[in-house]
Amino acid sequence: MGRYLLRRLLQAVPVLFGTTFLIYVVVWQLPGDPFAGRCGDRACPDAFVNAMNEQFRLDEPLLVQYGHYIANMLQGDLGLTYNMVPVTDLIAQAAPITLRLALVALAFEVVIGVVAGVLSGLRRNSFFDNLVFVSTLLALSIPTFVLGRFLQWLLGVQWGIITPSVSGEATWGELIVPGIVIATTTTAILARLARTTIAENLRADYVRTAIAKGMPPHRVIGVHLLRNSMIPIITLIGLDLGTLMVGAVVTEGIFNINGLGGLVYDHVMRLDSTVVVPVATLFVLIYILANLVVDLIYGLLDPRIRYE
Amino acid sequence: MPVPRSRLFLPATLSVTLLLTACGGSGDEGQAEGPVTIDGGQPENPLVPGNTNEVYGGDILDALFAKLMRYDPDTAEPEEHIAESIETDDDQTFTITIRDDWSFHDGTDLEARHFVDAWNYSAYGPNGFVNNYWFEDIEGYEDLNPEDEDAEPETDEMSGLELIDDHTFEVTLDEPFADWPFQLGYTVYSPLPDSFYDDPEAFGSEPVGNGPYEFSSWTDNEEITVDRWDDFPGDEPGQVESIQWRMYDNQDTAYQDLISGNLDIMTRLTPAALAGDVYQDDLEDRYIDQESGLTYSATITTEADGYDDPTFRQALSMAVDRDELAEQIFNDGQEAADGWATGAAVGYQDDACGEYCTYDPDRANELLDEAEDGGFEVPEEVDFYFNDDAEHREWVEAVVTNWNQVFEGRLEANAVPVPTFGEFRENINNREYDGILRTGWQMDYPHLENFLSPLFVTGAASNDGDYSNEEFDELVAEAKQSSDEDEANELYQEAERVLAEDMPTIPIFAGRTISGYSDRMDNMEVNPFGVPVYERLTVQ
Repeated sequence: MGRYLLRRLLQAVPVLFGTTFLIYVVVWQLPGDPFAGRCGDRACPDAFVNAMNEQFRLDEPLLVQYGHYIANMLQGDLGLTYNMVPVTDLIAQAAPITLRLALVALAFEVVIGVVAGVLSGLRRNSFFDNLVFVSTLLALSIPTFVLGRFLQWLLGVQWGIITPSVSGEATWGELIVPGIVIATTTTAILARLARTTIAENLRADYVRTAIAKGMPPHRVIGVHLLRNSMIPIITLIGLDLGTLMVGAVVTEGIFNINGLGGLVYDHVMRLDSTVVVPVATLFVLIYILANLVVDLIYGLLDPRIRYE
Repeated sequence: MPVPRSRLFLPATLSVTLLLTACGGSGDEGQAEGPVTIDGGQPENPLVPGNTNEVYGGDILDALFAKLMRYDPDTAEPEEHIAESIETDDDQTFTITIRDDWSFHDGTDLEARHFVDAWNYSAYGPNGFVNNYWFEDIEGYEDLNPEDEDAEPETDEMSGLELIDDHTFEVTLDEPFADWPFQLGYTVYSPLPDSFYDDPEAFGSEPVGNGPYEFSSWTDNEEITVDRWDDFPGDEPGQVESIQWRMYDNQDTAYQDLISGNLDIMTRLTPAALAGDVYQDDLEDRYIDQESGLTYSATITTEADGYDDPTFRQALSMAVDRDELAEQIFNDGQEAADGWATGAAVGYQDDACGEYCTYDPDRANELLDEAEDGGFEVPEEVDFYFNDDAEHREWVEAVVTNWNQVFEGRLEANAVPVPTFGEFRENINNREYDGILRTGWQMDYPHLENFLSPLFVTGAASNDGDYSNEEFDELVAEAKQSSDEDEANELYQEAERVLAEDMPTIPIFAGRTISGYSDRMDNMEVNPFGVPVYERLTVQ
C-alpha cells in the first residue's frame, strides 16, 4: 500500500511537468499580443508594450521563458499577473472559495443523490421511486445557467431570502444556493446510478446467501449490499470532485463568486498566461489526487482489489 | 491670457441634476449604513494615473485625484480646480499657478514640482506608461522617447517643463495650442506625491492621491473602497462617508443586485435590462439616461485597393439603417450617429455627417454607380473585421446584412470575427487588414477636438485607417492655434464636415449611458463621462 502510494505520487511528477509545458506552449501559441489590447480602441504606445514584453520576458524564446518560469515556480514564486497582482495571492484567495463551493455541492450530491437513489433502488416501482425518476429527469433537462438565473431571481430578487450575488467572504451559508445549482446535474445522475446498482445487486447471490443465513435486513443492506454497490458511485463522486473544482465557470459568473474557474477564464480572455498556467497545473494536481483517493477507497471497499 | 471660460453649445441633456423623490425617506437617519456601492471590475493596470486608461481603474482614480482643472459635472465646461490661474501670451508657453493650500492624503503639501515630476515620469519612455503619448505636445517629449527603441534617453526631464517657484511652473509646447489647458482635467495630469517614487509598485496597489476621497482597501476581484477625505481643500468635498466598487464578472448579476437593493449604483445598465424597457419598471424613476462620449464606428483602410474611393465609402454609409439597428440591437441604449463626435463634447455640432449618415438605399446605389463610372472597382468581398470577445458581433453582422441587402448582387460583405481584442489590435497595429474595422472611441476630455485629431490627423496615434487629407490637417492645426475659442470651435466643426466628404470612418452609433440606482440614494448625478459625480452623492 505504502509503496503503491509512493509510486503513484512519483508518477504524478512527470505528468505535472508534461502538462505545465503543454499548457505553457498552448497559451503561448494563442494569437495576439497580450499588451496590444490594453489601451482601449487605440494603439498602445511602443514604450508601454516594450516595457511589458521585457518585464514578462515575452521577447525571449519559448524554452528560455519556460525555464525561468519553472525555476521560479519551484521556489514558490508564481510571479505577477499583467496587472501586477501576485499570482499566488489570486490563487490563495480563489482556491478556498472554490473548495468550499465544491464541498457544498458534493455534500448535496451525496446526501440527496445517493440517499434518494438507494431508497428508490430498494423500493422499486413505488411512488417514491417514480417521484425520484421524474425529479431526476427534470433536473437533467434544465441547463445549469437557467436554473442559476431562475433561483437568483426567485430567491434573491422576488423573495429576498438570499442576496443575488455572493459577497467577497463567500461564507458557507451564501454558497448553499450556488452549490445546489452546480450539484443538480450530478445529483440526478448519482441517484439514477445508485438506484440501478442497488436494484441489480439486490438480486445478487451474496445477498440471497446473507438473507438465507438469517442475517437481519439492516445488516444485509448496510454491510453487504451498500458496500458492494459503492464502487461505481465513489468513482463518479471522485471524478466529479475534479470537475467541481474546475468547471464551475458559469455558476461562478452568475453568482459573482471569485473561484478558480472564473479566474482562469478571465485571464485566458486577456491572454494573460501568468495565471492560466499555474491554475491549470493546480487543476491537473487536483485530478491526480482525486483519482488517487478514489483508487485507495476501492481497496477499502473491496478487499479483492489490492495494491502492491 | 486666462483660460477661456465660456463655451459654445451646452447640450441640454447634460444637465441631469436629479433631486430625488424616492420612497419614504427618513432623511436624517445618518449615512452610517455602510459605503455606497457601485459596480466595477478589477483594474487592468496598477492604480497610477499615468498608467491607467480603462474605465474600471479610471473611475476610481477619478475619486482619488484632483486635477488642475475640473469639468463641470453639468456642463462639461472646464474650470480651475487646483490651478489658481493658467496664463499665456502666445498659446505656447503656459504659466500655471496652483493653490497653496492643497495637500496629499498623507499630509504632504502639494507643490508645483509634484506635477512636473509626475509628468516627466509618465512621459519617460523606459517607464512604459500606457498614457505616455499624452505628453507629446510638450517640448522635449522626444528626448524622453527616442525613435530608436533600444536607445537610452539622454535625459529624464522634458525641457518644456520648468519650475518657477513652489507653486508655479511653466509649460512650453512644441507649437501653439490654444486649447491645450482644456485637457488638464484628465486623469493623466494628476500630481504624484514623493512617496510614489520610493516604490511605484506599492503605490499602484495603495495609491495616495489628493482628491475628495482617499484610498482605503483593495481586495483583488472583489472590491475597492475609498473613504471621504475630511481635509479636502476643494470647493466640493465628498458627502457620503465611503464608496465601494464591487467587482462583477457578469453585469447581469450586478443588475439583479441593483434591483434587490444589494447594490446602490450601476453605472451602465445591461442590454438585458434595457430590453423592453424592463429597467423602467424595475427602477421606476431611479435612472439617468444621457449622452456619453462613446462612439461606435466602422473604420475603412483608406489606403487599400478597393477602399480608396470616398464615393464608395459614402455609399456604404448610406446603406446602414442606423435608427433601426439602434432600436433592434441596443434597445435604444445607443443612438444613431449623425457625426464623428457625440453631444457630450463641447463644440459638438448637429448633423455633421449630413445626408451621408442617413439611410437611403437608392441614393447608396446611385453613389456606387457614380464610383463605378469613375473607374472604381468594387472589391470582390467587403470584409468587416471585429473582435468577438465583447458585444460587437450582433451589430457588425447587422451592418453587413444591411450592405448585402442594399447592394444585392453588387458586392458581398462579410463579418469576420477575430477571437480576442488583443489579436485584433495587434493586427491593426501591424496593418494586416484591408477592409473595414470595428472601432470605437471613448473621449478623454469632453471636446470635439478629442474626437478629431487623435483619429484623423495624418499619422495620428489612433488613425487606424491611415486617413490623410491636407485640408483636414490644416483646419485642425489652425483651430489648435486659434486663441479665440468660438473661432477654434468653428474650425474644428469645419474639419469634421470634411470627414463627411471623405468618409474615412463610418459613424454608426453614438453611445448613451443609462445608469440606475437603488432607493437608498438621495442624490445621484452623472457627469459627461458617464461616471457618477462622487462628491455629490448622498444617501437617504
